[in-house]
Amino acid sequence: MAGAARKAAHLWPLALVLLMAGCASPGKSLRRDLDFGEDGARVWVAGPWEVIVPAADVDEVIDQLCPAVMALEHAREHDDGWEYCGVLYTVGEMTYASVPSPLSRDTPGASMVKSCRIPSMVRDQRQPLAVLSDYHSHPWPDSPLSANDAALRSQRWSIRIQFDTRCHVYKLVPHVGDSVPGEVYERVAKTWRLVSIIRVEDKPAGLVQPPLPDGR
Amino acid sequence: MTRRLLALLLLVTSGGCMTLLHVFEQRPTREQLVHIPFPLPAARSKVEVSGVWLRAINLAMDDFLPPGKEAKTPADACLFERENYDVVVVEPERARAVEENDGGTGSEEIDGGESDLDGGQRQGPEQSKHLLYVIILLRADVCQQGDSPLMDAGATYAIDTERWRIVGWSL
Repeated sequence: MAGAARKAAHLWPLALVLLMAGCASPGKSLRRDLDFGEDGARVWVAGPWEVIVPAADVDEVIDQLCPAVMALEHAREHDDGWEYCGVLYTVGEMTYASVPSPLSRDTPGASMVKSCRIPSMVRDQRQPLAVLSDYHSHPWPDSPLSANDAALRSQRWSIRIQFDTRCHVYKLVPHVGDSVPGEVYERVAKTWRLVSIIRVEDKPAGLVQPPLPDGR
Repeated sequence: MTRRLLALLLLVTSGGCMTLLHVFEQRPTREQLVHIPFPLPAARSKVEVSGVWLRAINLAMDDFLPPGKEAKTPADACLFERENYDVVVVEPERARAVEENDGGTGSEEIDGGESDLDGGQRQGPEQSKHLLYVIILLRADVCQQGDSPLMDAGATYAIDTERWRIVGWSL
């Protein structure tokens, strides 16, 4: 009896590890062909995303995005993680978030390069709807808007939202087609703080620079 | 011992042969050569790239798309072609300022850039005067991206041009 007790005592660390593994959440899975999918060469996403409360103020919707995306599977797993891409859109006076999509060119496995494909279509039965912005996550901490994110060639909408695993949220206003600098804001205490600009000549490459004294 | 030396010699010479073979594969035969006119024709466009920039680009590109990287899908095959990317090199103003103040004595220390922010994207020293940033961007008109182009299809590298090492990268 005492021997059995001693054996059991040796097993408790293993039991603890198993318990912890059971408690660790792998993140919520989205369903391909229900939440997101492909229609030929186009990526579509379903909307609205039920975990995001719609609002008349788009910023109220943006503030909900990062925690919701970071609860998804592989969203925070660094080099083993996934990027998610979604869109914000309006129906009437309200702004909604679509479900994000992890569709990418990436083959599974660790990589320092992660990407996702920008959805071009929202499947929401209500019409008319207008897409305002795309949004996407990076699976690392301290991973702000990249040159690739900011480059003119990758812009589809008038605003781009990006965030990392620490929920630093950035907003890019690229001013596509206008000869004015692009603007990069960070969400700080429920306001947008201008952190960088992209000079007109740097917009094709997405070269984000600190704001100049005169704002140009 | 002799056997080991022989094995080593064989390895080294075979490596050299492989390199030579690779060079010869790139070269056409004399009959296939295109005549280079003198003088050269008027230029539609031209660019001069410094050797330092070129080496920095090569270092970044060799990491981003290593030679011989095998594609598993047709989409990957397109994305693995270097000509489908544009490259922008940025020499930071601060680096130039440090160099001027330093009188070009090369006393600026570089820590090797092995730090890792919470397992995230690696960051190298930012204050180095021997630093170039190489931005690799996927061209918009390639790889049949259609209406759903890739976000973050390239990368940005920080290259230490004194030690010729990658000291940082991000998407």
